[in-house]
Amino acid sequence: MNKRWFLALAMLAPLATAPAGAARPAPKAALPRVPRVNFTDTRLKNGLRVLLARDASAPVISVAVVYNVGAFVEPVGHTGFAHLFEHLMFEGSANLAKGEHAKLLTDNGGTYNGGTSFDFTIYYETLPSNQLALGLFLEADRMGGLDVTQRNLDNQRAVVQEERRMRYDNVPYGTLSERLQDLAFTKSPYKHMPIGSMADLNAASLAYVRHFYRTFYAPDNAVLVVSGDFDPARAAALVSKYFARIPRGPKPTFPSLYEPPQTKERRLAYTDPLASLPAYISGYHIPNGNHPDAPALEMLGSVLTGGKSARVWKSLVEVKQVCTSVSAGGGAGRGPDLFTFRMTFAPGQKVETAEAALDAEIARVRQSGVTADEMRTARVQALLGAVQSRRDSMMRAEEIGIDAVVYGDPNRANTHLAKLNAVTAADVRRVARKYLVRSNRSVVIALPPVANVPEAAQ
Amino acid sequence: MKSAFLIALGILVVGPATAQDVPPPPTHVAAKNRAPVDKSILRVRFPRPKRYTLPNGLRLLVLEDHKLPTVDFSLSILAGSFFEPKAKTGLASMTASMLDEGTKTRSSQQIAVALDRMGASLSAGADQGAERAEVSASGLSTDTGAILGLMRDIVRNPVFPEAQFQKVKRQTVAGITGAMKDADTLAEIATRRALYGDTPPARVTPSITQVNALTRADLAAFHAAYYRPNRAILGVVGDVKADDIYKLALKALGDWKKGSGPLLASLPAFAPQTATKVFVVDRPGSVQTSIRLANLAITRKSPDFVPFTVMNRILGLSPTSRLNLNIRESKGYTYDVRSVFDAPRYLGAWVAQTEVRNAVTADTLTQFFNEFRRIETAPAPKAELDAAKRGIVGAFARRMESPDILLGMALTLEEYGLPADYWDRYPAMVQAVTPAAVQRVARQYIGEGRLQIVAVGEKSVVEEALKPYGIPETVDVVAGMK
Repeated sequence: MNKRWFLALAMLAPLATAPAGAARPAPKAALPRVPRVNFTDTRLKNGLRVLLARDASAPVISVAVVYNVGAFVEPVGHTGFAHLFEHLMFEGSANLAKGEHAKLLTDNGGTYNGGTSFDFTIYYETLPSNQLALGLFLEADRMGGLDVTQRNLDNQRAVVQEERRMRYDNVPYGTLSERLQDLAFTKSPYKHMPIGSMADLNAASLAYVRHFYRTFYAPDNAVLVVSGDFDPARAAALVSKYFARIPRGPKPTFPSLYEPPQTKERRLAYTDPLASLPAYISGYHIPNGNHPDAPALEMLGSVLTGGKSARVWKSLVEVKQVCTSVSAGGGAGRGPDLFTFRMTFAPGQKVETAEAALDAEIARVRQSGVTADEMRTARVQALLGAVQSRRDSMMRAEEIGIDAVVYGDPNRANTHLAKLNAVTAADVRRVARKYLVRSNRSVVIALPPVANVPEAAQ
Repeated sequence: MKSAFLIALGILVVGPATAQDVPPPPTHVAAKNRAPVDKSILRVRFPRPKRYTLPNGLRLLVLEDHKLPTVDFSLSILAGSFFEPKAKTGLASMTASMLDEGTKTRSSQQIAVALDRMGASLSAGADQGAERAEVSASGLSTDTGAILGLMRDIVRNPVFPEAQFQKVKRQTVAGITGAMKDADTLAEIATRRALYGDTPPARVTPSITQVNALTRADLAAFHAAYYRPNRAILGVVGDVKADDIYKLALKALGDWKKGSGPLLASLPAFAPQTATKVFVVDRPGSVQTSIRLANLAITRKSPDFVPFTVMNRILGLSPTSRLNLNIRESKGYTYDVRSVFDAPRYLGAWVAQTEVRNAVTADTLTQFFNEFRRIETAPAPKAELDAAKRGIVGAFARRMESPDILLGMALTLEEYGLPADYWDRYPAMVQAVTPAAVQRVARQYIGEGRLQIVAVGEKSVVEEALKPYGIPETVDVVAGMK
C-alpha cells in the first residue's frame, strides 16, 4: 500500500498502488491491456500547464488544478498552511460571494473536493458535461484573486482545528504517524504533517496568509487538467478565456528535501489515552519516488503484504497469529521518503512477539529474496491497480495532474506499469538489503493505559 | 461510516461536508451571480441491467460496461443479523466473515493464493443491525469464470475450520475492544438503542462474551438455514456479456437448493419516539463532544420518501445546507455537521450529527434546534427549494460514469419491489415537491419536541450542556460490549 499523508476535505482515493502503461513480459495467459490516458499537454503564456484528457464515455467533465504547494514548502512555525488554504480557497473573491463557489457546484449537480499532501495540493470538481464553463470559471477565479479577510481566516482556522481534533486528537492512534514522521526526519520538511500544529494555526496572521497565497497560487506554479466529455477546441478556448489573463507569480523558493542518513535505530513508545490495544509503526528511509529503486520498493511492499497469501501477512496474521493486521509499503514522495510497516493487535497479542516475527520476515527477504511466483502475483496486482485507478474522469485527472506536479511527468500514468513489470526478483532482494536495515529505521509504539483493557478481552 | 444510512438514500453518496463560508446572516449565500451557468439540466437515461431468475429462485442482474477490462460481483443474501437469536448476537457477521476461511475442497490459504494470483479481491460480511449479508468480488474480466467459481465455493461449501475460527474471533474481539473507545461507535449504539429499544436494528455490536461463546456448529447451522438461492440477488457489472454470465451462473449456482422458511425476519412494529429523552455516554479523555439528534422517520416505500429527501438536503445534507452554513461556516464549531437517514422496509432512522469542541457543546445544541424550528415553522424559500431540486436531478448525469452505482440503483428497485421505470420518473417526482410539502415532512418527522438526544464525551462537560433539554440519563454502552 502506498501511503502519502493526504488530507482531504473528503478522502480522495489514495494514490493508486500503481499507475499505468502496457503489460510487458506477459506471464502465461495474456493479460488485458490497461487503456491509456490520452491527453494533450500545452502551456499558456503565463506558464499554466494545461492537460486536456478527452473521454466521451459518459456525459461528465472533471476539472482539477494541482498546485505545486504542500506541507513540503512550509517552514518551521508555519505548518498547516497549505491545508488551511484548501479551506480558504472556497471563501469568495471579487466575482463570488462567500459560499457561492460551493453553492454553484452543488446546485448544478456537481461534486467537488480538495486535498493536501506533503507534496501537492489538488482542487477539483466533477460536473455534468454541459457545465464545463462553470468548472473552469470557478478554478480560474480562485487562482486569479481571493478575498481573504480576517473573518474568513478566523472561521476557517476554527474549522481546521476541529478537523485536527476529529482526525488526530480525538481518535485512537490519531498521532501515531505524526510521531513517526517527527522521529524519522530531522531536517526534511516531511517532519511535520500537512494538518500542522495547533500553535502554528493559532499564530497564522492575515499578512502571512496573503503572502503565502501570492507566492504559491499562481498559474506558473500549477497544472490544470480537464478530463471527460468535452469538445477539445471549445475547452481550449474556454481555458484561454478564463485563465490567460491571470498574471505570473513571483518565483517561489522551495526548501531542500534533504534528510541526512540515519545511523542508529530510533524508538518511541507512548501511552494513547484513547487506545484499548497497542499499535505499531516503523519507517525505513528510502529515496524519492523518481529514484530508480522506487519501482522495486513498490513491488517489495506488494510481495510482503499485498493480500492474505502474501508472505508477511500469511506468516504473522494467518499462521503465527501474532497480530490482527500488517501492512507494508513505500512512500513515493518528491523527496526522500519512508517505507513503513504497521501492525494492529488483538487482546493478548504482544508487540514484542510480533516485532520479532516481523524482523524475522525482513531478515528472510534480505537473505533469500523473493520467488518468481511472488513476482508474478505482484505484477498482476499492479496491473489491476492501474486499471482500477482510472475508473472515472476525476481519477484520471487526478493521476496525470499529480504526476505532472510531483514527478514532472504527466505521462507517468502511461509508463509506470512497464517499470513495475521490469522489476526482477533480484531487484527486490537488493532494495530489501539496501534499505530494510535496523540502523535506518524508526519505531513508534502506541500503548493503551492499563485501565482501558477490558477483562473479558484479556 | 454507517453505510446503511447512505445506501438507503438511493440518492447521492455525499462526501463529508466541504469548505465554503458565509458571513453573519448564517444561513444564506448572497450570490453575485457572475459565474457562467448553463440553465438546462442534462437529462440522462440510465441503462437497465439485464435481469434473469434462475429456477431455484436466485435473481441475477447484469450490467454490461466495456470501458475497462474488469468485473465486479455482489451477492446480497437475506442472511443478516436480523435472523440471529439475541443470545447469539454476532452469529450472522461471524458466519459471513468465515466464508472465505476454508471450504470442502480449498483451505483458507488456497483461496487466498487463488485470489492474489488473479489480483482479485473478495470479501464477505454482514453488518450488525441489517437484514442482508453481502459477498462481493472483483478482478480482471479475463478471470470472470474463476472468480465466480471461487464465490460459488465459499458461499455454498464453507467448513468454518477451527484454527481460522479462532483467528477471526480474535480479530472481532480486537475490533470490539477498539470500538469501546471510538466516539462514533458509542454514539451509534446509544442512538439506535434510544430509537429501537432492544430489537435487531439496535444491536450494533455483539459483546466480547457473545463472540467467544459462538461455536462452529452455530455457524454451520446458520449457514445451512439462510445461505439459499431464493434469498439472494446476484449483481454483476463489467466487461462481460449478460447471457454468458447467465450461463455461467446457471452452471455454478443452478443446482443450489432452495431453502424453506420465511424470507424476511419478523420485526416488531416500530414507532417514532413521542417525547424527547436525553442520553449521555461518558468517554473520558474526549476533546470533542459527539452529538446525535434522532428519531424514526420513514420507510423506503413511503410516499414521503422524495419530499423527505429534498427537505433533508436543504436542512443538512449538502455543503450549502442550513446546518452546515450555520454550525460550520458561520460558527466554526465543527469540521462536519450533517443530517442523514436510512429508509429500509421498516421505519428507518433520521439522525442529525456532529462533533464539536467541548466548550461549544451547549451552543451547538441551541443552533441545531434553531434550524429545526426554522424548517418546521416556515416554508422553504422558493430559490432554496429550486436549488436543492436542481442539485439532486443535475447530479444524475454524474452517475453515468459509475456503472457500479447504476447497478446499485437497479438493485434498490429489485430489493424493494419498486417499478422498473422508477428512476426514469424520479426527476419529475423531485420537481413536484412544494415548499408546503417540505415544511410538512419536517414537522411530521423531525418534530423538535420528540427528538432523542445523545452526547458522547467528557461526562461533566456534556451533562451541563444537555440540562436544558431534560434530565440526562447516563448509559453505560461499554458494559454491553464486554
